[in-house]
Amino acid sequence: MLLNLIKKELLIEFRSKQIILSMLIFGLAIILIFALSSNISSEILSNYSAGMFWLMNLFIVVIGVHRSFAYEKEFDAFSLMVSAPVDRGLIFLSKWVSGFIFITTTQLIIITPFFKLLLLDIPENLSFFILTSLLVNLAMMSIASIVSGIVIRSNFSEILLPLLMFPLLSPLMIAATKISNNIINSQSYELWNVWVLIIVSIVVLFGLAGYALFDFIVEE
Amino acid sequence: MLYVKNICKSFNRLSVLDGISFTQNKGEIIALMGKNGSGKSTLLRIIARIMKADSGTVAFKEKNLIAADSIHRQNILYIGHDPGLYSFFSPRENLRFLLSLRSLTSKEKYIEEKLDRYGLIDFIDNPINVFSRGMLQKLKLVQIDLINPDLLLFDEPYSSLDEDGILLVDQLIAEIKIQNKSAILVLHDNQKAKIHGDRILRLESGSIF
Repeated sequence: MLLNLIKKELLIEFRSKQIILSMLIFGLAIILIFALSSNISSEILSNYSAGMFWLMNLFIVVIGVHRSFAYEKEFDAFSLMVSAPVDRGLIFLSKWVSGFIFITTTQLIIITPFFKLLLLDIPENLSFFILTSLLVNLAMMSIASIVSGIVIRSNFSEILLPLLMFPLLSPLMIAATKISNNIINSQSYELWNVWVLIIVSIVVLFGLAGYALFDFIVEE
Repeated sequence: MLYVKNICKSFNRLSVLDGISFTQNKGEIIALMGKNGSGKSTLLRIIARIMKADSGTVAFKEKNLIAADSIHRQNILYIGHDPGLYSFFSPRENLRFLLSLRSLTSKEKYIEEKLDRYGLIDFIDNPINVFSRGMLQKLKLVQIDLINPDLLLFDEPYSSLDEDGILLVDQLIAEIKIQNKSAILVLHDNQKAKIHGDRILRLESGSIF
């Protein structure tokens, strides 16, 4: 069943191309603004680059998640899923996994222009940077999927989504920035492993909470 | 077969359903009537477990639907005002997904036959975001015909339909009766309610009459 639900998410995106495309355009626009408006030395820019990267991701996640749940609202398709004999926890998992795929795909495309346009050096330990980014994406989408489930039934979901999501994502964004900054500056893992543990905890906590509570969250 | 007991629901302190109770036997068709805003759709959504009631219980085949596992919704189909489908999918894809949600993939072979019956075969692979309201309403009928649930919860079955469509709804309800299946139909037409309903429930001021 989970595979069917994920397949549905991917097929809708394949047809509409709205989620990844909107995230890409928005992300590129942010990079361009950063690149054209910053008139600071490359050293200072390098220090801020991790924060800028995750700030950009924070914004594009809101757009992607909002679009993903907008499909469900359009013809009230969400009611069809919720009233079907399906474990609602699986609906959460499908949103989580598909959201993870969409944000990761967007990042893979956007990461090169980010480093090139901001004239930044590619991190020496690129594989570490990618692995930790994948972990942050998992955590980000677990929170985003729960919040979207909460606000989907509201008439003010466009406003409520960022209002609820930004405070919840803030600790994660701080941890992600610390990790990426340390990787960009080639710091030893021992100095920043605590941030990785925090993110792992967020993944486990929000993943379990989302699976267990989605049944009640999505009821009107 | 269906027990609805003491259902209460309010929105922003405005009480819409105030202790609704009724039972429905197997093979019985209930016509649910009432003015706009009387809570008919709300009641259907609570029975389908899309909406949470403030209090009360709903049991189907002696299983409490509010507390029981999702599998007990297997034989209940809710069709609301909207088609409950994905706009970027074609009827074929939507129906396939619908069947997969209910583990009824063996019925996929009937999709074309059913779409043909309701005059939608020519649009089988077109995304439904180009469909008219009437076509979407007919697509709801295809869903019902394909799934053939034990309990159908249908909100305004005649909405947006032309004469042929109205006839198709009449036929579909007649078939539900013949098969001894149950349905709760939200209707606004007294005549249709008398023809199809074994019983008419009127919702007024949050209570049933």
